[in-house]
Amino acid sequence: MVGMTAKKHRFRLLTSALALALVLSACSSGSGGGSAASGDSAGGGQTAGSTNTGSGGSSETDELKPVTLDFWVFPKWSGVDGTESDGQPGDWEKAMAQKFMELHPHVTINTEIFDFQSGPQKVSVSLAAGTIPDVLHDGDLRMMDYANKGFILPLNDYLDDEYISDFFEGTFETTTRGDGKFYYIPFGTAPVVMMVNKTLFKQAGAEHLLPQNPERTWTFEEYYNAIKTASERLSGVHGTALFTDTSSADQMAFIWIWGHGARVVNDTLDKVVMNDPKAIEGWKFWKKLVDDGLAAPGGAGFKQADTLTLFDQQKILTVPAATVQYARAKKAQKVGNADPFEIELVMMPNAPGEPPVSSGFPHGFSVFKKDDEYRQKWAVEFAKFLANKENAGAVKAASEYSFRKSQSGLYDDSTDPNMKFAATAMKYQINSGATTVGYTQLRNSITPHLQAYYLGNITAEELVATVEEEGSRILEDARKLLAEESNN
Amino acid sequence: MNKSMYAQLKSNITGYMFILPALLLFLVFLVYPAFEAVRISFYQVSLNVSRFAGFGNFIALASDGTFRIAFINTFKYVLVIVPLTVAFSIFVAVRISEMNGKLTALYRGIFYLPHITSAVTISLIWSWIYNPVIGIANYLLTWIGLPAQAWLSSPDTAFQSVAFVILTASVGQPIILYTAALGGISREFYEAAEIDGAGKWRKFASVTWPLVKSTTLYILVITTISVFQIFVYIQILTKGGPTNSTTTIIYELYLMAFTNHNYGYASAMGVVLFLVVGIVSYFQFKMVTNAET
Repeated sequence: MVGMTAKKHRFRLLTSALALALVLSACSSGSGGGSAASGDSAGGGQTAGSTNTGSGGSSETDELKPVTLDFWVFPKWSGVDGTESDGQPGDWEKAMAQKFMELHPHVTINTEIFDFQSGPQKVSVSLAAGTIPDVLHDGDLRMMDYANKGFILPLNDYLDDEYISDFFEGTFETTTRGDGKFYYIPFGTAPVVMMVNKTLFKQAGAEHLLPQNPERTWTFEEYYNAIKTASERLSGVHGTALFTDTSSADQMAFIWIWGHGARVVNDTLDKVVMNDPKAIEGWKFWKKLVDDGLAAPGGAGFKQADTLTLFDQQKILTVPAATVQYARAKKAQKVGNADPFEIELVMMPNAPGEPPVSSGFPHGFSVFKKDDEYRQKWAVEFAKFLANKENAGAVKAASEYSFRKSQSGLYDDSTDPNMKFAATAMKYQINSGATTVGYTQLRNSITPHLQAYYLGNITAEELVATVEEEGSRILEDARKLLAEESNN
Repeated sequence: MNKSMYAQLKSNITGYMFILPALLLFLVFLVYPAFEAVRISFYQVSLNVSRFAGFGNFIALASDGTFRIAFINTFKYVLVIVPLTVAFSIFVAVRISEMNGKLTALYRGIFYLPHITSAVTISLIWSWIYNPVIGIANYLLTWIGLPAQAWLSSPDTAFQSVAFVILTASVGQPIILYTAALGGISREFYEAAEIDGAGKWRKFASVTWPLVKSTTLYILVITTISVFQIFVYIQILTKGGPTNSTTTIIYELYLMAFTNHNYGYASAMGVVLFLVVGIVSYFQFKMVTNAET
């Protein structure tokens, strides 16, 4: 072990990361992919007088020391409420920062907006260089990745019972990595359901084969019969499309085995548990869709986005999707980017005796550790303010759902029965295990094995055995590294 | 420093001042990070940990099955794309140099277009062309009665499909270079060959090919280096799959650095790539030098 100061380490790390980034940017030969657009929503701190915010319950005076916070954002929607024709990504976050600054004139917030293409790389390099934000709005996976590197402040001591009691039971458990520490405040999620092209089912005279019960549940057998019947009566239409690239949207791949009662990671988030008869059964059903020609060809090379494109183009009858993607499909139809057809949301199929399953794409606000306790305190106040009761309904702009009980009727006044239905799917959400230490590496490692299985090169038994053995080793290595970093 | 050297430096000082900003930027942002990356390749480095690992990263690389596949694939790309680029470019250049001025300019523009188009754009268009269900490639195949192909979805075809895309984007500059070189060959050589009874192929083999040799070697060098560094096409078209059949060293380096935050291991990959490119380029430059002397 070579002794090295943290500062020196960061500087050297930055230069190395820069070198690697330069190599890659050189390889992209002007491939574009512009980085983050930044904006300063500030100018704040000018409003006269101080008030009690109600966000953190702190009473202020004009003597409070000025503090500047850096707020980094991966925005989930454009505009403030998502309805503006000229809305930009990050408008809501900038508006909230402005509101907070008006409530707390001594606070200045610099808001920086990141795009999902180059943003994660930029954040990684910034963290390596020691440029650390105060508050981050991002998805759970990346935030937990930063938590695993020791950057994120556990929030247990800052969230009182009153604040937490408005969240659905079990919500905060999904913000831990199995250690009971809350690493972010959950804000919104988009439950995973199944999109059905009802127009095509009607054309095939198979509409009656779709779920008719109020909760829109069906078994795998019922699902199989429905898509087989409908696709046989239609020309050039497949029952669904499967993808094998699990490096993103992996929930939509794994949900096929979750419905059989299998899981990828155990409840304590420290072991891969795919080597299980239920998982084998699930993957065999998945492969049967391929072998019987019910899945569109080419799945070994598909990403989730490809399956959604096929759905938009009416080449497949069904596809697992999050409600955000449903909203995008509807919008594509509305603006003429896709032919109009009727979409119905239903639950993913489940095996007899197993409950229906949904997952989600949680995002929220995390606070980064800072040496300056005063600054950190205000960062926590700001994060709590962003996710408070008053602001929680903002997720509607992204066709998402809040984790707050007080927002459970968010879509009660909606004219879209699908959005009302999807609210009921929230109760079937399981912990996908995405917050497991080493999960990013784990899900990346599964892709080639799933592709080999799709192509018939290995059996379902070999797939689950390999994934469990290799995945458990990855998780163990990640935990060891975490322990080292924690001691560092 | 003797007097004459000082006088020379003084007389050239303006020139040195002009290149100084670029030199400083080059040293700070390229040379220093490159050396630092070599140093870090001997460490186990993540965001918070830095521990000397000696040759640990390199030993791990030697037994890393995915890296081995990426290494082989990288060479396969070079061995397939570089000769095809040279052969196709000179073929096209010879053909269009025989046309009239306007047509030559038109064809040069057409073939150069992919070179100046963003690799992201090209990749996205090709991913649509290759789509097994809605792609135009399979539409055309089935239209003429041939079976649809899996293109990017099968390990049997994914490598060739990706290599073809890279080829289309690689030939633009060589065609321009070859047409310029062909324009510099005196007509007298061809006339003399014709008098000796040479046909088209003999004129190409005995006149054109030897006289564009230095251009060919230059094209070999620049194409080889760029193919060793393929990244965007892989990232967008296949992400290295299916079953790692299209992955490359540079793509694995990206995953290791920016997904797994394992900078030491990624730097070791970079060092290996640097050595390989360096060795290959050295021999190619030797060939260029020998050809010119």
